[in-house]
Amino acid sequence: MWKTIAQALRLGVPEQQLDAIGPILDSLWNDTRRVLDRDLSLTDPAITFQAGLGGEL
Amino acid sequence: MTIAELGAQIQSGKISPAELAAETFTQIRKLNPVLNAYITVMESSAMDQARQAEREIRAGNYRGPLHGIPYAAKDLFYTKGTATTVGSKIFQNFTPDYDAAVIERLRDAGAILLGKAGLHELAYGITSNNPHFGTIHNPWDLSRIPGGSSGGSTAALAAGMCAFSLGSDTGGSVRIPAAFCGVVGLKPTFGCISRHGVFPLGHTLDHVGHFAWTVRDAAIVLNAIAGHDPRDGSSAVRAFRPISLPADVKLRGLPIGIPRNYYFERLQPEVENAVRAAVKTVEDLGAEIREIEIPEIEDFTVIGRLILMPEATAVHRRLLQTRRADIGADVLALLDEGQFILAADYLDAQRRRRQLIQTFQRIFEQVRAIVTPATPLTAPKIGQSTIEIGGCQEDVRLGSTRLVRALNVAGVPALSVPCGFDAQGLPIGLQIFGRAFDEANVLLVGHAYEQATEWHKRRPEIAVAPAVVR
Repeated sequence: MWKTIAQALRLGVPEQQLDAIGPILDSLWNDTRRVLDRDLSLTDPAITFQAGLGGEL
Repeated sequence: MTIAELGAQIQSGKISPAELAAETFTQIRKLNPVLNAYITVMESSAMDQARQAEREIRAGNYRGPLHGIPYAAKDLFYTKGTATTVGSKIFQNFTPDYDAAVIERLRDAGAILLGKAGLHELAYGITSNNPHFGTIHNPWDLSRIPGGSSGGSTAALAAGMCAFSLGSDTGGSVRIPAAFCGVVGLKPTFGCISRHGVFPLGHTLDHVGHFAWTVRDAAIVLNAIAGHDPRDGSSAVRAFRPISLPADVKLRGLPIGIPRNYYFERLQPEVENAVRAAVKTVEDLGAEIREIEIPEIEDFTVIGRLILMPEATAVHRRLLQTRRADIGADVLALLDEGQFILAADYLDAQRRRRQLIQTFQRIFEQVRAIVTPATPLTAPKIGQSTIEIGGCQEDVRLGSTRLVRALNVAGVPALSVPCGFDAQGLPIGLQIFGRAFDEANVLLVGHAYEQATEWHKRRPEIAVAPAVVR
C-alpha cells in the first residue's frame, strides 16, 4: 500500500526505504486507527491562532 | 560546585570568573576528545566574556547568580557569528546573524557561553549517536549513550565541562538525557521560555529546557530565561514570577499523585525500586500521596508521534527532496514516515490533545504534582536498537520516550531528578510534573526530594578536580 501511495503522490521515497519503513507505517496505521476511532468533531484542535497577530492585515 | 555555590563565591570575590572559565576549558580539553560533548568550543569569546564579568564584579556591578557562570548551549540555539549545526551535515556552515532569545537573556544575566553542545541529528532522536559529528558518550559509562536529543548538553554537564546547559525537548529530549546522565533536567510549560532563534523540529511540541546539578540551580536558570517574548508566537503572554526555593523545605499536606495505570508498567526492576523508594521519601517529607488514574494516557505516545512526524517532515521537506544523501539513516526514515500521515489524522490528533489538556486540568484540581519514572530503563549501549524489559523486546527509542512524550503533548512542566543508580552504576531519573505554569510546585517537590537524598552529589569517575564538579 505504501509503495502505491508513494508513487502516486511522487513522494520521492526510494523503494528500498519503503521496504524498510513499511512495517513501521503498518504498525503506526493500526495504532492511529485505535487512538482516533471516536467522534472528535466538536473538539477544537489544540493549535492556537490569533487573527491579526503576526500577520500583515 | 553548584551554580548557587559558585555564584556566592564569585560575588564575594573568592572565585574569579576568568579562572573558573579557564579551569573549565582545561576540563573540556581533557574530556571532550573522549566524550565528544561539544561540537564547537568558543574559548576566545568565552574568556573575553569571563574577564569582562570579572571587571564588572570588581567594580561593584554584580548582575546576579549567573554572573560569571559558564554554560553550554545545545547546537540548535542560534549564536550570532558562531556556527549552529543542528547536528546536521547540511547546516555545518550555517552561521546565524542573531542570537536566540535565551542566549540574549543569559548574556544579560552575565553567564559565559563556553560552546555549542552536540545533539542527535536535527534533534530528531534519543541516542545522540550522530553520523556527522560522531557518537556522544555517557560520562557514567563510555560504552553507553547519554540519551538525546540533548545528549551533548548532559554529557558536558555531568563531566564538569560546564556548570549548566541548555537543551530542547520535543518528545523527551531534556528528561531522557537528564535521567541517563544523572543530572536535573527541566522542561518548563509550553510557552514559558521563548523559542525565538531555536531551530524547530515540531512547532507545537518544541520546548526550551535546561540542565543543572540541582533543582535550585535549575530554578536559578529558569528565573533568568523565562518570560514573554513577542518574537515567538507561542510565547505565553503572562508575567513570570521568579521562583525562590527555601533552604529547609517540607511538603506537609501537599497532595501528590502516583498513577496506578501505565507509568509503572514494564519498567526495569531497579528503576521501579528506585522510583517507589523516592515516592516513600516524598511521603516521609509530609506529602499526601494519592493514587490516581490518568485516563487513556497510553494513547498519547501515539498521539505525540502523529503530531510530531508531519510537523518535522514539514520543517525539513525541502531537505528531503534535495539533500537525502546528507541525512543519517534513522532521521531520514522518520522524515520519510512523516510524509504518510494524513492531514485529517494530524488534526484529529490535535483534537485528542485538547482532551488530554482537559484531563490534566481536572487531575491537577486534586493533586499539585505527579511523580513517575522518567524512563523505564537506564542508558542503553551505543548501537543498541532493542531492549528487553519485563520479558518484552522493545525499540530503544520508543521505550525511552514512552513515559515522557505525552507531557509534550500536554505542554505541562516536567522535571527529571536523579533518584538512584542501577547495579552497573547507571543513573535513574524521577519525573515530577504539574499543572501548566506551575513550575514552582514541580521544582518545590524536586527540591524537597533532593534535600532529603544524596543522589545529586554523585559524580562520574571521569569527572574529577575542576571547580564545577567538586
